[in-house]
Amino acid sequence: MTSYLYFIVFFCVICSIETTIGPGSRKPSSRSTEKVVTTPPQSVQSPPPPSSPPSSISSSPPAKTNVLQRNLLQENIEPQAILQNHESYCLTCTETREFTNPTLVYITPWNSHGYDLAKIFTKKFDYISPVWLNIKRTGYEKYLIGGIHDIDNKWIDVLKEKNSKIKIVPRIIFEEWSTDDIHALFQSENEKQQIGITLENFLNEYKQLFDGYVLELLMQFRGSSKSTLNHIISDIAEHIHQIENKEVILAVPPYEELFDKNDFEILYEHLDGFSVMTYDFPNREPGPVAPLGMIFR
Amino acid sequence: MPESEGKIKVFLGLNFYGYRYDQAGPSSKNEQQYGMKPIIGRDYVEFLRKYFSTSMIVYDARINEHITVLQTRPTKQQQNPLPESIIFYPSLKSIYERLELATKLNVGIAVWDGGQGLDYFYDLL
Repeated sequence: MTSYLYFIVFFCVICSIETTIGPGSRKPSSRSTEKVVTTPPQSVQSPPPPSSPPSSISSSPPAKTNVLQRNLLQENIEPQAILQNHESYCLTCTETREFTNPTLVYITPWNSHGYDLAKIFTKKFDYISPVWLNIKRTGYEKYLIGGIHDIDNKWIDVLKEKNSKIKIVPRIIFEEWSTDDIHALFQSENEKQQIGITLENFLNEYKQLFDGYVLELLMQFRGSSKSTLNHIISDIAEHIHQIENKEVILAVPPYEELFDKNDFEILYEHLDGFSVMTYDFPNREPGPVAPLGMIFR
Repeated sequence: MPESEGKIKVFLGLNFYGYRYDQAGPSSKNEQQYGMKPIIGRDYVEFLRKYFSTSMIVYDARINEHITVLQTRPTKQQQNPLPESIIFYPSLKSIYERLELATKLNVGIAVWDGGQGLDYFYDLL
């Protein structure tokens, strides 16, 4: 059944969302100044705990057991427990997987600790998606891939050495397109061919480093014809699949207006994956980032 | 149906960042203004380091997330004031429950982003 793919659109106000996959690539001011009126969650009404004398809590180094063995997965947790343990991952289990379904991790240059963690935990992932690339239309039937300066060959070499099965699928965002550029792409078959060719050629050029792309364009092209958009996406995938063993994953915002069950069924056979951004549910009051019950119905 | 064909193609998004809500400006009556901004692991740890003795972490079973609350000191005017800061940042338990959900739905997971989390989160993957 695909019914769980009905992403729940809670109080979906698309106009308030200028977001990409996460806060990192969001313009810094977009949400920070938002004023909200609220009442606090019920559970926080109790009085503050008795204050203990301030002391410095040291953070433990990596350990020989994992957080489950150390019984750290608790409902009742003290801030101290986090301060003591947050850096204490299991040194001897970095190559053991607890979660056996496919795993993907996005790594951004602006949270650079991720580069190190990806090297430590390479074996826990099937896909690593560095957030480096963008594509723009630069003229008549001309497309340009940007962000090449961020590509870190040595880091990728280390990852592939540590996990020969790892797939490096850079995220490529279709960002800052003018209305004219979007219009041109949607109207012309030649334009669609050219964008596919551009993405294919680039991947051919970087064949040794990259195993495909994560495409991020649904939010950016919202409001455009959905059937044409699906056609653009499957065309791109067709171009990428011309190259052996290359994959295309689509980043999917959790809004039914942008992507619904029908789109999923149309694109399912053409794509290799759907990275569903089940977070950033819009909140006008203090609220959870990804309430479990809202994620899938 | 597609998912019975074998290959798992859906990746459930898993946030390693959170949101922080801070009281903004003077309050009026029972309503309180909060300003919101994203928070990543490093800053969350910094917050706890500063406020570990005055903040508390509660689990909200309705949303399966931990909530970190910094209380405002009660005054004569307000015996039971609203919290100064409220942080929704993932915990081992909140992540674990989402992984369990992914297993149940037979889908993969996609972490956004690797550098925003706390190191020990990776033990769960």
